Amino acid sequence: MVSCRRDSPVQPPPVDAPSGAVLRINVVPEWEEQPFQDFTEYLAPGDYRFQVELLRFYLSGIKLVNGEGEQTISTVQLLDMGNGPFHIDLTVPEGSWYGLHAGLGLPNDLNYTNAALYGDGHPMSVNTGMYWSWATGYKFVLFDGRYNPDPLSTTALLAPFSVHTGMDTCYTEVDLFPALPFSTTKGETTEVTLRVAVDGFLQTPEETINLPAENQSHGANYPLALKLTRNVKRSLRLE
Amino acid sequence: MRHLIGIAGLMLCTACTHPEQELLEPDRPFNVLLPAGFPPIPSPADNPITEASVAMGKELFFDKRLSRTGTVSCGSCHFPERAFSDTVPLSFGVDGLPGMRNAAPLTNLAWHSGYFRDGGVPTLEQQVIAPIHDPLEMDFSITRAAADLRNQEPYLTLSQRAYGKTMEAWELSRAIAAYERTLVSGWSRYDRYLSGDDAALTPSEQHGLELFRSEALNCTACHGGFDLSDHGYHNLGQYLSYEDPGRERITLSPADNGKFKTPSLRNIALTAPYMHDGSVASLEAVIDFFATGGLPHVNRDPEMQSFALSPQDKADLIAFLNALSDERPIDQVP
Repeated sequence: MVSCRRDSPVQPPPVDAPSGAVLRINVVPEWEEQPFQDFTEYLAPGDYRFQVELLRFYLSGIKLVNGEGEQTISTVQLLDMGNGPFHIDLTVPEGSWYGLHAGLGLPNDLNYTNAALYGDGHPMSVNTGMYWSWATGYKFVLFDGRYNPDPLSTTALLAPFSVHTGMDTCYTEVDLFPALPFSTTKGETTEVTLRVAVDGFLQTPEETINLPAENQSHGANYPLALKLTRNVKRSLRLE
Repeated sequence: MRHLIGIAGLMLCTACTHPEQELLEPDRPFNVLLPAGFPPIPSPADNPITEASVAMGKELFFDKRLSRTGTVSCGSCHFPERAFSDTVPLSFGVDGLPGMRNAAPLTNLAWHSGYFRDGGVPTLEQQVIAPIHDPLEMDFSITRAAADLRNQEPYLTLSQRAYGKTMEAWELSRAIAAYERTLVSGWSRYDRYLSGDDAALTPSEQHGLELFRSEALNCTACHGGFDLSDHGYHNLGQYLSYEDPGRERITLSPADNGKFKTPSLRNIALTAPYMHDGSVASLEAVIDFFATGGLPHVNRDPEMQSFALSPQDKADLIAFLNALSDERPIDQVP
């Protein structure tokens, strides 16, 4: 009676502020703790010139965590670093929380749904560019751009890099706990900040991606896809 | 008060009905004619094969507006008269660029468990998405195509009949999949021979069948069953190093490098050129390749073994393969 349409395309759920608490996640992409912008030249490890042209990744099964357990607050979000800082508003239960727990990428049961089910506004729509199509399933992290392998060169950046992780084994989970717990209250908006250290995608204390040697992965080059996955995980910090 | 509630309820009910829905002919199951010995057609519960769904799917299959430039449809690379395969090694997409692999025939797809030559997609509904989005094929968006077409006939009416709503991406994918499930091949002279008509195959063709079934040639190790394919993945040793990784692209297992899905041999006379890359032009050349046993690739299937054929044997084998062509149209949808 309420809806005239059966099985309409899946759209993201609306944020319902008046009847619930709202958690605002401010997503801030950074390069060496400064605001990050795509199509901007940076110095990559090895001091070669480098710019990011496409940077997106999925967080899925986002949960609020406290001593009593977990509360799922979002099935999936697609984070696009291309336009600077942005925020995500989620309707959440009231409570005190240690932080968030999320999947980087999509778990198996989401990864193999029929992409045609999702409407244009949904993070899993085929139009996001994240769907493999030839293998079904989704890319989890899209990291594309250009670099110049000659650190002394001043010419245009021509050499491309394109690292797309996906396949089930690239799925991992991450705890995002700020230094202090935070609370959510009905009728109010609580803000947290997710800092994404893009420089860490290439180099963390544990691992370095050397673009001249490691620059392509599209479902193959499994070691590079896993290395990027680990670096991305290390580069997320919640405040 | 009860009367007011009742009237309001009735108004809501009629408001939910599409204006033309009351006039639409009810949809009915589409009865796919099956050859003798074929198992029932598998189809998912949320996408039954009906008159409206297959009619809509057929319209979409040949609609070039599924491509960015409005110049390429599924039928642009899958010709009905060629068992829904192409005539070239690699088909050309919207910008005239060649695709990655040879366009496979689209017959008996309902019985496959994985789609594309590497089996990367598990359902026909999901398979529809890839060529529409592939920059080398249609380079478009399934949601955009659905948005562009949903209010035009015949899609407006057919989608209401088939799915009770206007066409979105999901209905588009389901309709094409439903149509593809009706493309059944099993009407060859070989099939008549199997049914007891000894005169359906000439003596030369019958000898070719004996060779086909022989241990020496071992064809039936992979080309057996009602579809003359095990629908499995095998490396033939076509190359020592494969440019196209084949099923390894899906499984990421080096053991699957160079493995591709066994094609059906039905209508093989119509589906040249052959192999995953369309690199072999004729059946004669295909047989010559198999007679070598393939190159010693590390993943070459152990069923590949060399053999020798006299010129007459080769001619008889090819005669048999030519007898695998359907004697009636594969497309049953009016």
